[in-house]
Amino acid sequence: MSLRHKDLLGLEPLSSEEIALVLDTAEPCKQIFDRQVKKFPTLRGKVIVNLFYEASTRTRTSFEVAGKWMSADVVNISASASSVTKGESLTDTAKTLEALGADVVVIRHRHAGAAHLIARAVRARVINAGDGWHEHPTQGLLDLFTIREKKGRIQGLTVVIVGDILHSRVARSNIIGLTKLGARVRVAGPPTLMPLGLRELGVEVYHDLDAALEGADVINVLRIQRERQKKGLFPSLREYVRLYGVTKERLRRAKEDVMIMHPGPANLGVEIAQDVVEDERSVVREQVKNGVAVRMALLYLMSGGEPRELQPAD
Amino acid sequence: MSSSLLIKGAHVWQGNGFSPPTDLLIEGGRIVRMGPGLADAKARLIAAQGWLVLPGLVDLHAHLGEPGHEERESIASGLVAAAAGGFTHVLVMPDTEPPIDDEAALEFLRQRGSMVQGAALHVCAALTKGRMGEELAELAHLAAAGAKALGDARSIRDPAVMRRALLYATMLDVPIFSQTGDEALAGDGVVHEGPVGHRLGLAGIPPSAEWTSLARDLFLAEEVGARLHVQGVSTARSVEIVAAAKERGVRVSAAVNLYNLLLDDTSLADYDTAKKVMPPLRPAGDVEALVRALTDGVVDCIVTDHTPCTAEEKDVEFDLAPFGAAGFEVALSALYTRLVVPEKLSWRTLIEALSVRPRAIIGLPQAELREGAVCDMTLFAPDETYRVEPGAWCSRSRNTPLAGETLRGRVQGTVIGDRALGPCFEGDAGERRRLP
Repeated sequence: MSLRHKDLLGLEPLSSEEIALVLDTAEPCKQIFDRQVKKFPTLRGKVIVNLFYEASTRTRTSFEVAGKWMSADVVNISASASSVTKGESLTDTAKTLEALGADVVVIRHRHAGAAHLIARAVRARVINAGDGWHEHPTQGLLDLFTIREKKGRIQGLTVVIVGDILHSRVARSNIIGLTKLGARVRVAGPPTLMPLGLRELGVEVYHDLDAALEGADVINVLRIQRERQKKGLFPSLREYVRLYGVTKERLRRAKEDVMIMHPGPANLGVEIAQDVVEDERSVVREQVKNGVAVRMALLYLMSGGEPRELQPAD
Repeated sequence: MSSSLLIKGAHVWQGNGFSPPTDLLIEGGRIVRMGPGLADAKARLIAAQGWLVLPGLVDLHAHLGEPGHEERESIASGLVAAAAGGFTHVLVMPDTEPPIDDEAALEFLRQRGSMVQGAALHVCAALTKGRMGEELAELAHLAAAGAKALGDARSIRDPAVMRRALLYATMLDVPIFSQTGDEALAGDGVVHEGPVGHRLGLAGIPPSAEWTSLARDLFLAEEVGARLHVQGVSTARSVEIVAAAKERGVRVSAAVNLYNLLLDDTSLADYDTAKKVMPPLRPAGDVEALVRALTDGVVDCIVTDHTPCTAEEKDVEFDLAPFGAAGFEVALSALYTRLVVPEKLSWRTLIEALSVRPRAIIGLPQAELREGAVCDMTLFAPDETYRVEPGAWCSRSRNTPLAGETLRGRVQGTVIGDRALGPCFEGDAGERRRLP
């Protein structure tokens, strides 16, 4: 079995088997962290372009490291958001990159559907590294990998996602991936940060975080952007922290071994307390490592690789 | 017209059905004879066996780009495109640059329109100066200069301004056109707010943006006794709101946009910016309610809301693309294929919605298909099947979500007074289409 899609634009088009394949392939990839020579020869001669229209340290670096450890040539482009006003269209940029030899284009963009737009325009494979509020599929995959690694399964777990669901591509990809793999998903946040009709995606909606945490196996805390408060979507940061800030005290309602996740970067003391991030049940650092492993697996599979052939270089 | 025309063997609309095969002899811009077995040695013969002759179609909502955005459409290309789509009359909106908010601008449009061998042009002039929603435009002057409707082609923010405009216009014999969609509620939204838009991560426009602006303007018109025409009715709840107002005796008519009748929001999954329209594509239940509302007469007419956009404008991120789709040259075929053939809409309702009622709304004479009547007709071949190729359009723009679709039924030509336009008249005595 392999990935049948030219591009990875979201988790929605993937079957649960395809998601499981990526997670399975990420396991041998992760062993590279323990090796002296961190190289697979697999993608030698391939060009990966990281085309980032939004500031990002962790996702961009993660793709860069993943590509380099697979022996690909990695080019980073930090396109300014103003390139549109300069008259350069996204499809034009993508076609230029293809003409320069890009085999894979990894794109981060503030507008939903941007990855679809360039995927239609070029033959190169396109990986969505976050498009507006739509999806962040590699974050979804690394979160799934992390849960499966620590809990041994995903099916039947109760996962709470707390925060700004409405504007979060991380939330969307997590909801889609988790429900496909049989987890029970609860979302918690104020109604103004929650889309209408969320229940139709098969999740349980809570506005009371304490109730949502009851018996939870996993809590995934989303970053809250201060500009949402400025736009009047909630009255004050103080009130938000009081209602939805994740503290050790609050976590007592969850299962004793609740796993604590955050996609980063965290606003410490706002959506999550410092001591929660540093708690032994927190997997925040592990998520970062797993991000590299999952992205390596994806780059490998999208280049037509078979999982069993994956061998480190000597 | 340099010579007479003899249209042979067509089925002519009779008000409640089509006639048996009949011939029409046209001379000097009039139907001079109508009946089977006509002959005229001098007349140019049009073999129209199996075709339908419809009263000329009227589009009460179109944007032509000129002045200001001639790269999208000019008045000439727009009116030729409209005629190619079977429309004999088009009401153009005032949202040009500069906007059509005074007599000089209105006169410019009318002059340009009169020079085109295409559909006849009529103007909806702005209701407020600069379409800013603050001060009233010179409405009496505009009406006297020939404006057939008054409206800003956007919802007026300040209810007091809207009320004043409606009240002032009660002394004029011109309808006020009100566009649905509260701009503050719509915010930065680009699609209908609902599960589909949420899955796509696109900012939603709550349907209440339409309901509240619609209900507000209906209440204001009711209070002052004005004649109101609402543009952009696109939800089941909006249909209920209009029906209730009509029941109370409010003088209101309503229009639905072409693509709101043809597509629902699930078709947005590919982020195709050709489907980014305003009002946004709605869920299937709304689309069904709109089709029923046409049959019930709650919604009076179908308009194209023809909004040409260049390829460069549309080939961008969904959020950044302008709203709107071009509709002239695909409307009748699409409505016939998607609604009439599957018997969701009768020919009678379609003709009411595309000709009879829009004429009544802006005070155009009805198109009559009888001996002695001035020509105002559309020729349609219901059995011709073709692929939509926007590249071959008369319009300067190609932005339709139906590009590449196979449709049934095709417009063959229009006759407007002494102008016979369209492929069936080309190459001989009938006047050639003059390309802009």
